[in-house]
Amino acid sequence: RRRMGLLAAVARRMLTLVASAAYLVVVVPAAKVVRLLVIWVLSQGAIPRHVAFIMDGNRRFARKKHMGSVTKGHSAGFSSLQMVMKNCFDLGVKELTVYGFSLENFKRKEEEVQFLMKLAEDKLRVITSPENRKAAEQNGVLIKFIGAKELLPKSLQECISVAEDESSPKLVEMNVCFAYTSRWEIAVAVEQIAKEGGNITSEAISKKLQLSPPDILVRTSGEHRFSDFLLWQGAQSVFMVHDIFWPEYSFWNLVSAILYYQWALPEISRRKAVNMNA
Amino acid sequence: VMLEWLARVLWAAASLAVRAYCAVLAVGREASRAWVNARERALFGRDPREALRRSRERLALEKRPAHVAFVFARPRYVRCEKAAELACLAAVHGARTVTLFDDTGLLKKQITTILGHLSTYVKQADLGCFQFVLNTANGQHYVDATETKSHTVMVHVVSQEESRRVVATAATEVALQKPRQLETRGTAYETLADDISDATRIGSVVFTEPEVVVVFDDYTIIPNFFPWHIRLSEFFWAGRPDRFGALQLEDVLRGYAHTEKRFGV
Repeated sequence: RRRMGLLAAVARRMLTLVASAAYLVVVVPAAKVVRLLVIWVLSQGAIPRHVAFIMDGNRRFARKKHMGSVTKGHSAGFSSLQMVMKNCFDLGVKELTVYGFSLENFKRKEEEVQFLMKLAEDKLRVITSPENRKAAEQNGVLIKFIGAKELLPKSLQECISVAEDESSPKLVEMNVCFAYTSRWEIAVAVEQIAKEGGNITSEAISKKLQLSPPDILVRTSGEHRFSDFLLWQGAQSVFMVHDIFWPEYSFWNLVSAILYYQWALPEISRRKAVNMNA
Repeated sequence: VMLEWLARVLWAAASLAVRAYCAVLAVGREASRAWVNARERALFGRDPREALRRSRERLALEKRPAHVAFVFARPRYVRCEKAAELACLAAVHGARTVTLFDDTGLLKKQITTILGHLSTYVKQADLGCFQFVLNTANGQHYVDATETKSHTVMVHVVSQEESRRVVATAATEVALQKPRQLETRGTAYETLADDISDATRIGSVVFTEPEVVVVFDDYTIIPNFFPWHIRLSEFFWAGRPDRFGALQLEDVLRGYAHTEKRFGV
C-alpha cells in the first residue's frame, strides 16, 4: 500500500509537470498567435489615435480579492496599466491618457495619499532607470505629466522632471494626469489667455488646453460619470463603460472598445462634420 | 494579397458580429420598454394624472436630483411634446431645474410649441401647483403667469451654441471684474473655478450643474453638452425618447439614488 501511495504521488507530480509544460509549450504560444491574429484583423478598420482611461476600482478590487489593504489594489492597478499600455501600443494607438490622481483625491485618507505618491515615485524611478529609458527611447515613448505639479511632494516633482524627457523621439505619447481635473485645465487655459491679453473664447480655450480630444474614453467599475476628466475635449468621443475593476481590465476589453468605436465612427464623423458646418 | 483579403474578410465578419450584437441588444431594450409602457397603460389607463401620482408614490427615494437634463442627440429624436412631458415628469419627482438640449437648436426654435404642450400637460395632469418658466438665452416665457404657484420649475431650452460659450463669457466676466482671481497655482484655481461657475448664465439665470443627464442616442457618444457643468453628473443613455416614460425615469432616478461616493471620498 505504501508503494501504491508513493506511486500515486509521483504520478500526480508527473501529471502536474506535464500539464504545466503543455501550457507553456502549447497554450501560451497559441494565445500569442491568437492575439496577433486579432490585432491584425482589428487593424483593417480604423484604430483610434487617442484612448483615455479612467482607472476606477482599485480599492474595490482589493476588497473583492481580500488583499488586506487597499494599497495592494493600487499596486495591482499599476500592473494593469503596464499591460494596457503594451496592448494599446501593439494595437497602433498613438496617444494614451490615464487619470492617475485627481485634485479631489487629496481629500482621501492621508496614508492612502502618501502611498499613492510613494508608488508613483517608485514606479517613475524604475521607468527612468538606464535600461528602461533606453527601451523607451528605442520605442519612441514620450511621457508627459499633466496636473498641478506644485502640489506634489518635491521628490516626486524631481522624478517627474526626469521622466519628462522632451529630447527623445516621439512615436507614441503617454499622458499621465496626476493632480489634475478638467476644470483646473480649463482654468489654466483661461489664465494663459488673459495674461496674453487675448479674447477668452471657446476656440481660444480649446487651443490652449494641454490634452487633445480622445477618440475613446474608457471607464471601469461600471460608473457612468466623468469625474472631472477631459470634459472639454470629450465631446463626440465614444464613452465605453466596463463593469469590471481596473486591475481586471484585459486585452479583450480593449478589443471590444475598439470594435465599438469602429462601428460608431461613421456617426461620429457625421456629427463632427455637422458641428463644423454649424 | 490573399492574406490582406483574408484579414479584411475577418474584420468585416467581426464588425458585422458587433453590429448584430448591438442590434439584438437594442431590439431587446426596445421590446422591454414597449412592454413596460404597455403595462403602465394597462395599470393606469391613459390618465396622465394617475400615472404621475402613482409614479411619485411608488418611488420613495432618499436622494433626488434637483437638476435633470435631457439631451436629444439626434435631430430626428427632437419632439416638443416629449420634451414637455419629460419636464413635467422631472418636476413631479422633485427637480426644480430641467434642461432640454439638442445640438442643432430645434427646440429653441419651437418655444411656443413647447409652451403649448406644457400648458396642456399641466391642465391634464393637474400640475397647477408648478410654475414652469422656459428660459433661453433670449429671455423667459411663462406657462401661466396669472397665478402665484407653489413651486417654480426653471426649464432651460438650450443648444450647443450656449454649451461652451457660457464658460467663455463667464471667464471673460471674471477676468474683467476680478483680475487678481486669475491665478491657478496651487489651490488658487478653486477660487477661479467657483467664480466661473457662479458667472455661467443662460440669459439672466445662473446655470447649475445637473445631477442627472439622460441622453437620447443610439450610441454612447458623449454629447457636446455644457462641459464645465458635467464633472459629477450621472449619465444615462436611453435610446429613443418616444419609448421613455415615467417608469424609465423612475429607473434612472433609482440608479442615481444608489450611486456611491465620488472620488473615493
